[in-house]
This record gives sequence, structure tokens and C-alpha cells, in this order.
Amino acid sequence: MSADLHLERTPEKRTGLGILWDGFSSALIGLTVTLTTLFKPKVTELYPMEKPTLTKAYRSAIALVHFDDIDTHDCIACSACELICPSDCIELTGEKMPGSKKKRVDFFEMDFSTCSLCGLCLAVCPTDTLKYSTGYDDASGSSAWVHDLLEPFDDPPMEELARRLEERAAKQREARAAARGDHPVKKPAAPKAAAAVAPAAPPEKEGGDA
Amino acid sequence: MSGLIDSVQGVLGGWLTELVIGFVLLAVLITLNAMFMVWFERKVAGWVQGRHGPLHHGPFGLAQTALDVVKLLGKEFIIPSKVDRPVFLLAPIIAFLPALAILSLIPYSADMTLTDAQSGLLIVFAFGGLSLGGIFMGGWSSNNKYALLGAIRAVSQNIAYELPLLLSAMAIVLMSGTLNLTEIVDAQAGYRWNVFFQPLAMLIFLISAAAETNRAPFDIPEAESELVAGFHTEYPAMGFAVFFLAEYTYMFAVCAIGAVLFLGGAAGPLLPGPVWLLLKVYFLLFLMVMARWTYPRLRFDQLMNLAWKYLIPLALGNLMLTAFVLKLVQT
Repeated sequence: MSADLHLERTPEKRTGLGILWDGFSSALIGLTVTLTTLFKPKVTELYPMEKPTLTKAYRSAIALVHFDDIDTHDCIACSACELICPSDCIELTGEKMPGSKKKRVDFFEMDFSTCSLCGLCLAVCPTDTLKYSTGYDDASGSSAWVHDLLEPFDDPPMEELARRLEERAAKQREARAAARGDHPVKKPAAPKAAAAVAPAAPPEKEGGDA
Repeated sequence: MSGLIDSVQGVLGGWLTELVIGFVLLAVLITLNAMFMVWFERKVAGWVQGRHGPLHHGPFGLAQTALDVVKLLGKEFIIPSKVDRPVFLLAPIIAFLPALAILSLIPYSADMTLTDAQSGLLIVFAFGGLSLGGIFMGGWSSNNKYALLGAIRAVSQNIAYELPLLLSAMAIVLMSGTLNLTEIVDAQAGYRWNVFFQPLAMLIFLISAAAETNRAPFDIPEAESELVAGFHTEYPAMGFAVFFLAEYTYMFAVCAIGAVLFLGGAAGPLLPGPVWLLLKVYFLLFLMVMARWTYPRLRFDQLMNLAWKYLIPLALGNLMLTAFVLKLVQT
């Protein structure tokens, strides 16, 4: 780059016309820098009109992950996040799903005015159903920001949910079997809508059935 | 419209009517130029720094200056109690009016000059010197140390830079053998523009012109980091606006003189004369704006060194060389 020439020049004492030439040439170099900047893309982000491209590590309010295969989140109300939270800002309750020992969350409230986005809840979540959201203009006029994470989720009826979870567990079994190089033994029985079966058996048990 | 002109003509007589119409047009030109230049300056400043510049009012933010003027009009005109009142009030006007006089002397096309004076160039520089009087009056009467310092700096700077400005223009006068601006333009007919023969003179002229108009990097009379706002520190609302208007009008005037002296005035193909002149003027103004946003402000001693040690000897040498070559060519 031409601007480097200027910096590398030895600080020898110039006299007379030498100074004049130095001044003139460095003035031209400066002018080329500004002239090229003139046509470069602008770095200013026009805030309300433009959405920025957020980095992958961008952290905004904690949210529940939406899994496509069950079309909802997968919080089992285990309370691990509630227990590990250093700011004590998570409060959740769950109830047992009918016909199963699994619990399902029915109230998940976070107080974002005390949450420091440390990410411990994401780390401990056994079903990986917590994530950072990408909202970036969450400023508000109030200092309190308590939010029920379940609010945007419209959970299906429990029976329907149980069926979806069973379907997913079957797919996971198949995928694991394929990864080990086994032939899929047989398709698991199509889950019944009434779902008296246990949904999503733990993987340790499933390992032996191939 | 023609009826109006006829009735004005009946009252004022022929040449006075021309003068009135001319000055009305000049007033329009000055206002539009100042409004455009403030916007242009801010836009270029933004672009140079990777920003957008004015954006939201009007197309490309063009209405920004108009709204700024409305804001200035709405401000209270506060006159500090210890100022020299008549001088304080007169200063912005004295600073502004000479620029208007200079604009009336410029040949906007081959047959569009408001006052075709025989000693046009001389009058231009005389009025340019007057404008400094307004600045000094403003700084002196403000009863403020920053304003006074700014005024003192303006005077010493303008005295130093008047010389290379005149000397570089004098080379052109030698070449065309006249002080009449229209004849200077005529002498450059056929694209024998003076810039091709006198590039050094043009460079010196542009540098001195930036210093004469107190533009960055020679803006020490209003150096914000040292003198608050320099000579117009105490000026409120429209008083400040008139100083601002004077600065931009004077910039336009100096660049118009530069275009006339070095770039063949209103000459150019296809487009009508005034358009060509405006194009050349705004090209020179663009250079001035770029210089402002590229170079840091000179210290006062550096400023004086540049003028007395380099520009004046160079301009003198250029003038002598021009005279010598002209004599050679003639014999």
C-alpha cells in the first residue's frame, strides 16, 4: 500500500526543495487514501432500518430450542438449569405426562434483569433445548424483564406430543444402528395415537437391541 | 414577467435594471450555493470517513441545510452585554458583502458578466481583502479572548497568503496581458487553458485560496480545538449564519476566479457556458472539501513558514520565469 512508503521513510533531515517534495508527495498520498475511501462501502449501520449480521457467538436472551421433528421444544422440566443458575433467575415447574414417567414443563420463567447470559443453563441442559436467541434490539423502558419462555410455544396435546417423541426416538435408534454399520433389524411398531407406550426410551437400553 | 421587467426598466432605466436582475440572480446563486455546499461538505466528510452523511431529510438528505437554516432562524439573537455593539452587528455584513461584489465581476459565460470592469482582477482581490475586515471586526468587537485571538490570526494569515495568491495570479495577467476577467477567458480560447502552462501557479493559487478563505487545513482563525470557534465565538443564530454564508460564498467566489484564471472560464463543448463554469467551480470546491477532510490543521508557525519560505519564493520564481519565457517568445 502506498501509505506505507510514507512511514518507512528515513527521518533524515531534508532541506530546501527536498522538504517541498516530501510535503507534496505525502500530501498526494493522503489524498489518494481519502479519495479511495470515498467510494468504499460505508461502515455506518443505519440502525432502525438495517439489521446487522450477528456473529455466531452473539448472546441475547435465553430461549427454548424449537425442534422440527417434534415441532416444539424438548424441555423435560428436570430443573438442572434452575439449580445451576448463579443468578437464581430461572423458575420452572413441570407435570407428568399422562401414561408416562416423563415430566413436561408447563411454566418456565426467567428474570432477564438478573440473568448475566453466562450460559451454564445451556451447558447443563440434558436435552439441549436451551439456546441464546438472536434478538438485538431488546431495550425497553422498564428495568424489569421477566419472561415465560413457553409463551411463544403452542404445545400440542400431551397424547400427540408423546407420539411425536416416540417417533423421534425410533429415528434416533435407527441412526445409531446405521452408524454402527448394522442392518436395521426391523421397523419399530408404528406408535399408536393413544400412546400407552413409554415415549423415548433412554438410549442405554436401546443399544442392546440391534 | 416581461411586463414586470418593463415596468422596472421604466423606473430605473436600462443598465440599472440589468444590475437589479443580476443581483437578484446572484442572491439566488449565493443561497443555493451555500445550501448545496453545506450539504456537499457534510456528505463528502461522511464518505471520506466511511459514514453516510446527511441522509434522512429530502432525497439524499438534500433538505438538511434548509432545515438547519430554519433552526438558526428560530434561535434567539443574544448579544453579549460587553460587546462593541455597532461593530459587532456590522461585522457579519461586512464579511459577506465583498463576496457578493466579487461574484458580480465573474464572467458566467462569454456575454454574461454583471460588471465587466477593465481592472476586474484587481477589484476582486481588493474586495477579497475587505472581507477580512469583517472577520477582524467580529473578533475585535466580541470582547472575548478567543474571538480576538482568532481575528489576529486571521489577519496575519491573510496578509501572508495574499502575496502568493496575487503573485500566482500575476503570472496569468502577464500571459494574457490584461486584468479584465472576460479578456483573460478570451485569451484561453481554443482550450489553451492556463493550467497547462502554469500548473505551479494554479497549485499555489489553490493553496493560498484555501488559506484566504480560512479553510482547513488553514483554519487556525477558527481552530475548534484551541479557540472554541475563533472569531465568531460570540455570534448567535443568524449572525453566525451570515458568517457561515460569507465563508461559503467566498469559497465559491475564489473557486470561480480560479476557474476563470486557470480553467478557461465558461469555455467548453456542448453545454452552455454557465453550466461549464459551475462544473469547473464545483470541481475546485470538491478539491477544497477533500483537502479539508484529508489534511490536519497546520500549526501557526508551520502556516507562516509555508507562505513566506515556500509559496512566496516559488510564486516569485514562477512569475520571473513567466516573464522571461514571454519575452523570449515575443522576440
